[in-house]
Amino acid sequence: LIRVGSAPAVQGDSELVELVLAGQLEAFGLLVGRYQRLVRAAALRIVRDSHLAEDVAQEAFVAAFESLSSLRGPARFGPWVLGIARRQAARAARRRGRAQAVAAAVSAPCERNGLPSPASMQLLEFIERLPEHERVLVGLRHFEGCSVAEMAAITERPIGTITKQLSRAHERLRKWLSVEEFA
Amino acid sequence: MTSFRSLDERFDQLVRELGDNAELSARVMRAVATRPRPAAGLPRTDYRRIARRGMFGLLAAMAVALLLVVLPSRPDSLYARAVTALDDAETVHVTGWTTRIVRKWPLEESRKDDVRKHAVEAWYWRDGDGAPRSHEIFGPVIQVRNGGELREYQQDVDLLYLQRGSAKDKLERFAALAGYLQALDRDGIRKEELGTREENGRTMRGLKLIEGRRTEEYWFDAQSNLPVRYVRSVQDDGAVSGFELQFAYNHALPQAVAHYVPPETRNVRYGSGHKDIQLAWRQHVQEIGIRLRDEPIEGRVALLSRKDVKTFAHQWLLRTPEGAYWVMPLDLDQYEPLSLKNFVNLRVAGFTSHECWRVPVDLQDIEFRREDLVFTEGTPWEQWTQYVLNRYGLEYVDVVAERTCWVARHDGSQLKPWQEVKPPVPYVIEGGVEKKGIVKPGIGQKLVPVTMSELFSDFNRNQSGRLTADSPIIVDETGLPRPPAWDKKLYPSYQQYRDQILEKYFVATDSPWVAGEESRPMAWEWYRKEFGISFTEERRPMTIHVVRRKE
Repeated sequence: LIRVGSAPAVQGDSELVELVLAGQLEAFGLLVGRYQRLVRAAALRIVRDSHLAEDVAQEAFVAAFESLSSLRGPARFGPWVLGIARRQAARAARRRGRAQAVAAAVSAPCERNGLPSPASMQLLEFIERLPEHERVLVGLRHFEGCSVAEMAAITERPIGTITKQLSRAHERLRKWLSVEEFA
Repeated sequence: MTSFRSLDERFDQLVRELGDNAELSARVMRAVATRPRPAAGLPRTDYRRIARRGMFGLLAAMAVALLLVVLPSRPDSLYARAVTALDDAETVHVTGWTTRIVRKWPLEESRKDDVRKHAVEAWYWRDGDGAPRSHEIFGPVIQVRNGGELREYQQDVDLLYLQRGSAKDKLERFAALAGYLQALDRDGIRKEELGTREENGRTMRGLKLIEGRRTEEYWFDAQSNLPVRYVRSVQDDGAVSGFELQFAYNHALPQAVAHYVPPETRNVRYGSGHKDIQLAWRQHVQEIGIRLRDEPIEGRVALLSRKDVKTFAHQWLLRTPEGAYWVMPLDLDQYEPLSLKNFVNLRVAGFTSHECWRVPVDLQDIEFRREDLVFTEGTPWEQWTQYVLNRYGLEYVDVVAERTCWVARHDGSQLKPWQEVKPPVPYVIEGGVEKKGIVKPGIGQKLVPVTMSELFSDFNRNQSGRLTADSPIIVDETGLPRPPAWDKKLYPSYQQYRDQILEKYFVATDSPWVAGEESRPMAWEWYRKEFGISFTEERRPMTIHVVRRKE
């Protein structure tokens, strides 16, 4: 229905947010689809329990929906919902005393409790260290398979900026992995 | 340095492990469908901002305005109304057929190109405590859910799969099925109103959605909004797959369904999250023991292929129940086979040490078949290691080479109580909680107190993870007391040995992660400051096991 720029048939986050605020519920479904892996990953890193992470992700999206009108700058939906997810996850972790479970899971690495492998958890850790805008781009690129043009449309930033930021993010990740990768 | 390709591979693995959770989207949409819309009245559209993008922006702004006008007449709330109506139903009874059987434990699935019609019969209800229950039959597969507990019995292969996860009910099921209804405006979806028709004394309203080769037809009771029929067909190279489901409501639940218990079977599989997940591997090793009792291997070592390429989330070196054989998984987990690098790092090095292995980079990624290595009690590691390498046209040879050693010497000062010695980098604090176990240079990695020997061996292992045999090795010449070796006659379990002997030799609260060249100066300084230990670099000859292709 709406096109941003002339390249991809992808709506920007701000357009989708506006549509949701206009009562178009389906637009929120597109936002959820766009960020669900990134949000789940952010939650998983904190709660270290795949089922709990899914619940947290759901709560985060619902909370985002309910307070969508308070979002300043609709183009920042991605970082905003990630922030909500992290707060919800921290609360959930405290509620369920996950700190002990984290220690137990790490000291017995064969016990994954549905978690990704240690190598993937380490990558998640590094992704979380990225600056906010780079983290969102990494999620869109690698979790959702978006092209650079699509990312530019979604985040409403020029293609050149996207390529630079993505390249910086990759550079950081490669550096961290090269230092800390062990097996 | 990690290459870009390997970064991509890391992402591929992460995405694979995170999985695609289509149900999450559906769950969110179901939840938000029943909540008040976030803003009433006109949206906060910044038309100036959109218009700044030129003609496309202007079109976008017009489209938003158009949406506001046409919104009330659109069928977009069908989904929300159906969900609300479904929520009120006491029981939902679904009948029909499907060409695709989705198994929660898919690894032993039969032919994937099978598009025959399989009968579907499903019941959804809530028990006396309000927990969602379901009983679903898809051809030979019966899935029973009781709250978050799933039991899946696959009649055709006599296999029971147990999993613990989040509870799913009739709404979840409908949400998962009716994905298109939630995204009516997605590009490429064509909608056709099918109008109304009378059937069994009620009026039904229909809607058809077409996207590419996929067609979906939804029929709802015009009065109650409950879904009545749902048909999906997908054309693929001449074959048509899909399903047709009829929905009925508030029928009496048959007792046989309410109290169904899957038959007992020896073939039990456990999903992640289930408390007995380790039993799947124990069961597998037990089966190998039975098989080898009847057909012993020739010699001391053998590789056994796995029937149906079976995989396990949790697997480890385990002795068969009667104790005749050890079984070592040559496999990493459900998602990833074992590479040569991982074989040496995770399976072999524990019997020797990491720092004495060199595996050339061009060989490290050789993938092993998912098999089990079995060997008799007392088989030396050299024998079974060569046996496995030989399978892949490889071998290891011992060479003596000069290595850089950090010779550790102690200044004779009194060691601090171990409780006062912390790793050089504190644990990350997030939300007031210590996030132990995060891997960063200098941070504690074991989360338990350690002896000096453990500190040194951890350093050597962390530095040697790349299996290049060129990192420095700490050689202990401190003269500090070392714990006696573990005497299994005195202390049958390692924990007993640790609690009763090692505890007297603890020197620090945790062992720091010191991988990579950059973390070496930090380690050097930490040992000096905390223990009065300094290092002298020396070149010393050392035996290295070098893996190579067989000549």
